[in-house]
Amino acid sequence: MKKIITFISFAIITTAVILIACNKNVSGRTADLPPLNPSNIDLNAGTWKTVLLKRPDTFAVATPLAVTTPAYIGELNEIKGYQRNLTSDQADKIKYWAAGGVLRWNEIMRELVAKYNLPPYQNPDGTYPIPSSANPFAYPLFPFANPPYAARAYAYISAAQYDALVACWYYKNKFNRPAPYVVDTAVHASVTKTTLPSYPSEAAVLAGVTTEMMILFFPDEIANIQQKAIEQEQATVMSGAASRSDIIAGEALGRQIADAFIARGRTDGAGAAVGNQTIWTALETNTIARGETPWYSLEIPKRPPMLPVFGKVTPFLFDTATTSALRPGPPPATAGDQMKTELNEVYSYIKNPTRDNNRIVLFWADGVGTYTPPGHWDAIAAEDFIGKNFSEVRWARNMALLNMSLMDAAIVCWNTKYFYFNARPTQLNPAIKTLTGIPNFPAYISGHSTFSGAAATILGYIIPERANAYTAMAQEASTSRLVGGIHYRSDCAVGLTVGASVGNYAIQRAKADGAN
Amino acid sequence: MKGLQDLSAWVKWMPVEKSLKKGTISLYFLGGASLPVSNYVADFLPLSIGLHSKTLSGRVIVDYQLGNFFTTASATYTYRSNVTIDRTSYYTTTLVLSNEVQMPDVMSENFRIGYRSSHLIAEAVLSNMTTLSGFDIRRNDMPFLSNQMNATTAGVNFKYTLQKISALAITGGANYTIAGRNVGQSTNLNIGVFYVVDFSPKKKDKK
Repeated sequence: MKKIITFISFAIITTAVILIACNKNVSGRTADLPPLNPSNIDLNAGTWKTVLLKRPDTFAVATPLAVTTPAYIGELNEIKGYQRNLTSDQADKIKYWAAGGVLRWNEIMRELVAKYNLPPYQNPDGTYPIPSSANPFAYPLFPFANPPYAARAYAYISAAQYDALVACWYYKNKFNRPAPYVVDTAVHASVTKTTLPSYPSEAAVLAGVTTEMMILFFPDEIANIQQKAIEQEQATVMSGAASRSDIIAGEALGRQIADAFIARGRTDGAGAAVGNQTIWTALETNTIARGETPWYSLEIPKRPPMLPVFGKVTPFLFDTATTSALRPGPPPATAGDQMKTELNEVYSYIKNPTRDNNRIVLFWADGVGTYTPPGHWDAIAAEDFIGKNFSEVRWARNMALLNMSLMDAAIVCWNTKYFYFNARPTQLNPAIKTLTGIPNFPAYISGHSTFSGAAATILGYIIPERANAYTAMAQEASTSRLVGGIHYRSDCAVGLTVGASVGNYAIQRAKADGAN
Repeated sequence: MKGLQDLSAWVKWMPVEKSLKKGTISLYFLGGASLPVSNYVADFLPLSIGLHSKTLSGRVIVDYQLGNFFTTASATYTYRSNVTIDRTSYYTTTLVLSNEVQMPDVMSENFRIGYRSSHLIAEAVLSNMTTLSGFDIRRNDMPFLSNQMNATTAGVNFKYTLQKISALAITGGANYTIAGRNVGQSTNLNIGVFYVVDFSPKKKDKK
């Protein structure tokens, strides 16, 4: 009896200690951020050079009511009504969105890409179904958010947000209506107080432009993103930063600007990027005719190559003629000595991989089910931007520069891959067992290397004190594909160089866009 | 993938052993802990050799033996620590911006019935493992550490202790996964050697 009591007491104490000591909840790195605190509100951002809009006032915004009108006073009363008894959930949402709209929307976009980054499963007859934008809810869901698709989505959305905020700042400066917390001291501010005029609301502009862009890029998510937009707008009103008319005007402006970008997206060539059997067969026969071993899919059953015509998409930073000009010379000939050397080098890395090689492979892999390499660079940039005290419009300008360079890097990379159509190391030597999944497209040049070269270049311009760190990261990302067994040295070295040249176009744009 | 996986240690206490009609019923409480002993890669399912979690388990066993027939039932609760992976974010049902994976705890149950003598155990085994939360693998997605992994297996086990060397036994068994979730529907065959190292002092003959 005594034994049982002793044991049960011991068991209870131990269990209690375990359950108390272990809160296993994992917190995201950006879960607890202070409100955005711009060192410069960039009041002149209405003069910055836009990506697509011909002029910041392309779309009209009505003159706002004066702050002395009964209608506006009613809007202040709406804010005070919320602020009298905020729930803790509302307070959490205010804090979440106050950290920055461009930041939070980029995190949401990365989540959408990860959610939709699943290759379609094969049909019973061994063919593969293709997602259809005309029927997006049918399996396979539209889109398959692979790296080129993701790069393009991030770029369009970032560029649209940037143009929309430039227009927003133009009207803020023109109408100069102060924020509710300035007009009435009884309105509490949960955001950093600045002298930035609040009409139209930049938060609502972001909500409007981003939700509208889902029509083209994530049609299944329009419903969910609409909820997010409402959440952001409500949180902004409750925070005292904007009144109802600020929100309404901002959202309308954002949606109209998005429509201009959607129109570009429908005609930029991405719709044809999947190709067809004629194109896929021609890639193989043309490569054989050149005397080279063509790429073959290593999936079972064989899957058509990923987006073989993506290299013809219209870039943002330069024209399609420049895409061809940026394309590098050919990879080593399949039958030559350099190929033999490089193939043996790849084998040497995977024969007995070190734990650190595994670490960098998995750190940079960003494969199926993730936000892709462009998303990884967005994550690096966003977390570095947090401490830089940028204004929202400068956040948008910097993310747009990064993402446009990543999309254009994808275009040049894919253009090169399908111009030469070379085989992966494992295709030439089946003894090469890789440390990560082998992507279903040719090797030369490495996507990771091209993306990383571009990103490190433009980010090193935006944050010069981190330039060396970015270069080192790009080098490690590039190396990870070699030691992972899925690329040759040539793919990686040339990819970094091509990426850097794409990044330089972003720097040229940055120097001339008026934000410096 | 290969490497040195986990080390585990268990204590087993029998507070009750009673006669029941012509048989014996006994109760056991067990506590166990396991630790990964090397920095093996965990985030590479289904090829990784383990989940790299530190665990603490509590188990209750009830055993009834009548002559050479026996039946045993047990239940185990396993607390699993969170796991740190190499990448800085991952997608479950949301995008988690952390390299730490929240690992759900596991509940398992086991039921055995068969023949048990001093030199031979031959038993049929039904085993169930339920992960207490977690998410499902989506179509054509990769498996992940914090999937909700459930499995029910049915099989047989043998253990034959050598007549001449009572510390040494040969074990063998087979089982098949008859139901599951987010696991492979596998058939497992095993054969092994079992040796008991007895640390108690050797008895000296009385003169």
